[in-house]
Amino acid sequence: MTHALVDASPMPPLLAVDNVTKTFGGLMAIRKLSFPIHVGEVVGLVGPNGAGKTTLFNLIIGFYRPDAGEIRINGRPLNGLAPDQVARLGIARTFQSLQVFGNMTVLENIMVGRHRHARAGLLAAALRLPSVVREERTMRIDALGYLEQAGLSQLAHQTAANLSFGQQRRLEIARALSSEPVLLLLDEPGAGLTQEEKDHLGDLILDVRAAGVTVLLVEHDVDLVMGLADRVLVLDHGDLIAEGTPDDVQNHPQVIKAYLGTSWGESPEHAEGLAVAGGPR
Amino acid sequence: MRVGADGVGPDPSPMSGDRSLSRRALQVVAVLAILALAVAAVIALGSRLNFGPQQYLQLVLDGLRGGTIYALIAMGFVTVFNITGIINFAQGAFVMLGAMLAVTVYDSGLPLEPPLRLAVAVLAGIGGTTILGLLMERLTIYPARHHSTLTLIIITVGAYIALQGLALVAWGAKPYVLPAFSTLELQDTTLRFSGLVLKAQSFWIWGTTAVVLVALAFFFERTLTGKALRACALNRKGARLMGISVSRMSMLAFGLAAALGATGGIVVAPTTRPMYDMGLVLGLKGFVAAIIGGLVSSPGAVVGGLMLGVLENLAAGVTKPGLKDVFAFVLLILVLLYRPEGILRRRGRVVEQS
Amino acid sequence: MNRFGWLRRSPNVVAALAMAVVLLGLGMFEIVRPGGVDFSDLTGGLVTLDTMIRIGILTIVLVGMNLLMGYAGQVSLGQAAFYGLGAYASAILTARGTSLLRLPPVVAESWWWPWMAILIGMAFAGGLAYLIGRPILTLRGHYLAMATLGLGIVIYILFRENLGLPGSHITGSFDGITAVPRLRIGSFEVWPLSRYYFLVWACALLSMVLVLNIVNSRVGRALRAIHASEQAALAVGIDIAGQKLRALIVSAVLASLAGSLYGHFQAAVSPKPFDFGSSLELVVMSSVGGMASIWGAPFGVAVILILKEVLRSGLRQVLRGASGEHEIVVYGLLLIVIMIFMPEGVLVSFLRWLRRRWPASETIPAVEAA
Repeated sequence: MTHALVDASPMPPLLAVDNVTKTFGGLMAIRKLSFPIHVGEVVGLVGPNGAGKTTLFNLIIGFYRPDAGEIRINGRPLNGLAPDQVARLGIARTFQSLQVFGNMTVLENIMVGRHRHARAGLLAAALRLPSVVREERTMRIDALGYLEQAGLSQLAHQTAANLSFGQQRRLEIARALSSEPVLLLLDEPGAGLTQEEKDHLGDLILDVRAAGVTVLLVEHDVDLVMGLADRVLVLDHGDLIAEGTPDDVQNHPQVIKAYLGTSWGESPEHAEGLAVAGGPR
Repeated sequence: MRVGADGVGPDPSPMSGDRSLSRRALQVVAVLAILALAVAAVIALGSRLNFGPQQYLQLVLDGLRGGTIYALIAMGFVTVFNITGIINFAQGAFVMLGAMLAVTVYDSGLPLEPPLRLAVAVLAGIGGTTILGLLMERLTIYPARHHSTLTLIIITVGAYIALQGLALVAWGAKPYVLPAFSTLELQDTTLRFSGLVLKAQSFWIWGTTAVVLVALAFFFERTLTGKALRACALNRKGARLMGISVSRMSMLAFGLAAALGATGGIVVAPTTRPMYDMGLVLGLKGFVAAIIGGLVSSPGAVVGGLMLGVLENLAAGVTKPGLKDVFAFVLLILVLLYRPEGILRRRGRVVEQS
Repeated sequence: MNRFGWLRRSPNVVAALAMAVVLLGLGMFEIVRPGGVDFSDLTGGLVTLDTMIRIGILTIVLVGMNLLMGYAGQVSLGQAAFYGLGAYASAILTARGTSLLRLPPVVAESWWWPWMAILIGMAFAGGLAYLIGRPILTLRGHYLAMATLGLGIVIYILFRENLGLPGSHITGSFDGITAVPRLRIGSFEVWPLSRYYFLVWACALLSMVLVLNIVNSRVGRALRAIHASEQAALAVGIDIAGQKLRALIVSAVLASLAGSLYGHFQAAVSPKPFDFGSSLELVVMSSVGGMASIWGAPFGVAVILILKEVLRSGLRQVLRGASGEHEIVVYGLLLIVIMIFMPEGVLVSFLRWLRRRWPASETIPAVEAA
């Protein structure tokens, strides 16, 4: 603590990616990657297609196991934990291709998000014990609060599948937040949104950050990341090629090279990501 | 390939690539141990019945005959599954319809010499069933093509029930007879060599299957329609972009499956007594064979069929005939659990997720 | 606005009460027989008390199956096997209690032993589901369907072949087990039909309420989440394997209960009602009522059973010499038509239509959680 002036981060990092390597059949997707994420930060992770962003994402949430290295949350290694166990440690995520529970109401979606904060077991639920009824009631009230925050209160009793694309994206974020995560991973939250919806999204993420939630934002849309992130990590071919404030990174020669070096025709999202005035799709 | 892909569906068994060598070796040892145990069990049980090599060989031969039929039916499953992604429960009905139509035409008193009459009956059985298969696709699958896979499977169950019901109305609940192809009589020629007994019809069954396999290979490799079908199997969306009518291909797949099923039903008919409900067990066994073979490959279906036929026959032979299906379906469950990609395919391939 | 506002907010409670009242009324009708008119006269002989009991029994199976298939999204094509487990457990423990199991007469002839046997059957079915569920539920889609199909057939054949034991006669082969005793409470026999009707429907309603409670709870939401997206369910920390297993166990236990009730109802048990065809028929009933619907369960069973009755008697008049099985043609065609036009089931489609007509009404059960 006394080194505060020397070391910008006296606390152990919330998330530590430590020398992580992941290969697929000889192809190295992530190469000896190390970086920390500190409490309260909004970190942007950018990089062209194939840079390893999704692989890294899947490594953190436990879908993949690193071939070498370690990922720790609050000093606790995640290696070997299944995705649901990782989630129960307080790492929440959203999906690039929406994964709302379309067979449930909007409110119920959020209540599922609160799953790890409730206890009701099968038998207690079947018998609807008083404790279960109480738990349901508080869960409902909490869930309504999260809907309010996401601006979805009016839609609480709608079937989630009937929501618009932008609303579903907000619902996903609200669902992730409702689990009271210590770390929120957002996977391409801007993909497929209109500019107006992106602005809304930006506001929501700023709210989240104000509430003290740490965010890792994986995003193609460089503009969106630049406006929100405290710190940006740039991946290319599995390597961390740049790290710093949005301004630093934007002018980093290697970053410019990496982005221009990919084929434009093959990655429309990427093209959109670089477009300065990324208008509605 | 998967690196950096943005799909939310990473490999369902992401750890499969990490399997260390020693673990692999352990698995091989385990499989060998189980096999050795199974062989030992068969021999032990067989010795109780005083079985010699001859008896075992006879069991294997009979198993190969039954297995060939399973293989034919399995190829029908595979064709439909590859092209449409549907498990077609009506496949068993095609088997039954082929046999019943052939019997009916043969018995209809056509003024033809028996061999010619049989040929006509066989063609009519296959043709009629094929038409029914095409009709079934148009009337039941096509209108529901946007529904979930489960719904489509239930529709094929409905189709099976309806077709079997129609057969009951048309033919009643009594067994029929189709003469053996060699003798054109109820009694088939029995070949005996060194104590082994073999019906001549077995050779018809094997020969037909071989011909069908070659014909199928030719069809898929050399004809435009066959290639279009294969394109659909590989990538439906891509095929559509190439101007292939996926809906036509789906219809064709059902037609082809019906023809394959009917062929199986007709060649097996002389060795059983065909009746309206013969499709259920044969269909299910064909299905097991298809799964053993990996559900997506015709050669796999053949290997699966033969393996199923031999194994169930051996196991039932040394225990109790009534338990034959138990062995078949236990095999099904084991394959699903330990080799869901089939016995022929390499491990680690992406298994269909639905 | 009014004192009964809670009723409007809990359509499931209203529906359950209404159903209980109607069923009670029908049962009383049979007992009192006002003016010599009995239950089946009410329906012109179409629905007998016997049919009503069958509907009740299969409703219990279907409620569990809908939890597993409709809510958790795990296909089972072998559910009749669990149904059979209950039937055979009850039959073996009661009818073969003294001869085969050498139970002392104090136990085997007591009134409570058959009830114990029902519980033992349920525990056994649940235990089996627990053991096989872990590996089998890792399979998905077609593969799960196939595995459950295989399992169902294996269990059916074991019933038929005396569990595969050489020289044994434990399940009575094709003929099954006869002389399964009626249920008693003390000296009060739960028989004739008019009494058994109450027992069966009490069990059916109870299982419906219990499963409805599960559906609208943390566990039920977790199951529905798994159905919608396993990945998203994992992402919110749901133990997918464990939750699926719970659903399978519930479905197995309920099926076993129903099987026991069936055994005591028939006073005999044979393998046929537990074969693959019966498993398929359960899927058909489930589809007709709507898989993701608890109220669809009694509805689906009733539609199919009554339809079979109608077709059977109707066809016999049209088609001379029609045996009892010709109705399956219509039955198959009907299934196809329903699946094409109402893939969510008849009842659910109807409720949806009602909701569209009167969007404001809250008394129509929410389609998603009914």
